Amino acid sequence: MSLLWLGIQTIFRPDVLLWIAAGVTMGVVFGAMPGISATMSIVLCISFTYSMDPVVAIAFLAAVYCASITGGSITAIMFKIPGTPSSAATVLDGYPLVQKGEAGRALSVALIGSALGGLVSAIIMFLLTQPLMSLALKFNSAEQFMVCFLGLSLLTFIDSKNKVNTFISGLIGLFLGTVGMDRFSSVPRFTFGNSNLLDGITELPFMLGMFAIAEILSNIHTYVDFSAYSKENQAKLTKLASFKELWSLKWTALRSGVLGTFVGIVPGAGATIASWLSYSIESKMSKTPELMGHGDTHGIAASEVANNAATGGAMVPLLAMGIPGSNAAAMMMTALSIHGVMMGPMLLKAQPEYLSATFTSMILANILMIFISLLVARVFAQVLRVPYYILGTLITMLAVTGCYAYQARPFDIIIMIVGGIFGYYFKKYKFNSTALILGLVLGSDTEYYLRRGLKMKKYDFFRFFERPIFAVLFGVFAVLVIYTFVRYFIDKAKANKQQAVTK
Amino acid sequence: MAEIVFNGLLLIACIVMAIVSTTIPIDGKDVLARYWPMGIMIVLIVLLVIKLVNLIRKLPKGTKFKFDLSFLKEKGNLRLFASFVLLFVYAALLPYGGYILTTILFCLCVMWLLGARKPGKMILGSVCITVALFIVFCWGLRVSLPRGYGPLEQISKWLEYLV
Repeated sequence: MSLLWLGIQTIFRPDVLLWIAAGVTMGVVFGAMPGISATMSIVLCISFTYSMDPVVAIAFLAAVYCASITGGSITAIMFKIPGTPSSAATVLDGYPLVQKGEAGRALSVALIGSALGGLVSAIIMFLLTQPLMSLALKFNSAEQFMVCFLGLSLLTFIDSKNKVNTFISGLIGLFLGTVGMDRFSSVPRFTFGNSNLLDGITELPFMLGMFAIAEILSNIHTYVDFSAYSKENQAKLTKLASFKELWSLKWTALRSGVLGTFVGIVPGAGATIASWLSYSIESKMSKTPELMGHGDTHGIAASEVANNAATGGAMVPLLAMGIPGSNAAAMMMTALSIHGVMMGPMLLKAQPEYLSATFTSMILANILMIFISLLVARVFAQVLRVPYYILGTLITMLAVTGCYAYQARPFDIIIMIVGGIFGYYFKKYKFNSTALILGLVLGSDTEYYLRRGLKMKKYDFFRFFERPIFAVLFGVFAVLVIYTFVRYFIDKAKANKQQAVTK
Repeated sequence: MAEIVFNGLLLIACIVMAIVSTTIPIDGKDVLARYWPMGIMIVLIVLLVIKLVNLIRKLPKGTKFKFDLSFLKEKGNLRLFASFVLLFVYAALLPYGGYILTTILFCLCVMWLLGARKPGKMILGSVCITVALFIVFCWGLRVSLPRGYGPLEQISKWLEYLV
């Protein structure tokens, strides 16, 4: 409780509250815009935090992070187009309600559901992070290596569609993490005599390229059609949902909140998987399954509560062990490390005010989000009337200027451009950007802990197994590998059988 | 075919990096300075070869490999390659031309690439975006943006100290 009290003392300052409100507004607007994901929203907002006090920056970015997921539901309901992929399930029940002339009801359930999801996950995050941090403090280098490695591997096991591409992406990320001065021997690696590369591939410019520039490049290649967002297509906001109706959704909200948080904790699973999983569970548990997909508020609540809950879930491994659970969390990690925030178990001991600020600002942002989102929903069609060539140019310039402002180094812009070109082709040929980013973010630490662990164990890898924690983590990894291979062969056998039947 | 070319280029890059990694000096028993990146590269090479073989096997029978530049005739690709060049030119000119002038010109080009064709709106949009970002970053966040040389530097300094 002392941590929560510290958070309240840290956050309840006029400047912090103002930045939280600004963060929520920017997050909702960015999240609702097509082509701007939650990750990109954070990336674009990082540059505003360079000169901020770390607490203000944490509060602002946490607000952007929570609100950008919610913003996606506005366009999903009002225009039948999800602003973020995680709001796709919301369309199924949101838009039929709009067609019945009940846009206000659908939107209020979605926004209050989002806020509840965020609150549930913030509470679970608060309860889980501290014990996990205490556990993580007991880890030695070998176990920290295994945690980083497991975090990366999980992502590969989850993406069942493009396993080879995900492996390749993660490994490219790991390789990029080796560029620069070696942390042990101070020998330059893969710098090719360029002194700018001695510090390695700077994460922020590369991420700005991978997300912001890559998106603009794909819109330059194929023009985007904004006609679906015309003012004529927007539904009018009608009467909001009653308290009685909202109260009837309590079990759906609780179920989806807990589910979303735990899905969010798994690296790579994220808000999109959480919302679809929650929606399918809700349709199975519903007393009136025939109504699902035809304007049932339970469907909207299940999807929106879960996708927002996943944001808090993704913060648990990030705060407790320094392992981001999603792209957006990786972005948060990079952004906060700029401000000197040490992610991982030492955060609780060395910088408790930052940890408490994260919890409190996420709770506050989720409450503020309900009111701000309703206001934004009313004027949203006006925002979308801005032509894309202005919006796209603004995003490009925000990325370029933010990238330069990071270290006042023109070379960072080159890194960003390379990241952009990489990101464009990665998207085009179905590689996994999340795997690459996690590889890049965790690569340096993975190598560092492995080598440090080996040095401490006198270069005998098998001595890593002396402690049960490493053995357990390695066991989890081994089970996952076996499961993946078994699943691959079963799927292949099924496909062959089906092919034979068709012939 | 383009996917095969992209994966092929990745494979070549990985082979080059694997060769470069052999030149990394080793310090005593700590061999991972060299063998960690080399190991990553070897796994990458194996995976990329598997992927390339699969891609080639999926090609329709009778497909012939030939040097074909017809993709450059497609407008979308031309715009894309132009934007690659434009981004690098902007990065190279920024320290010399200063933020304001270079950004206005860059914005004009990006707008054109994004489909804008009305000069009046394009100029107004470019100037507004540049001025807005200059105000936010330079005056609001106290970030020093590139000033350029000669008279451009004097103008930038004057603008910076205006507030």
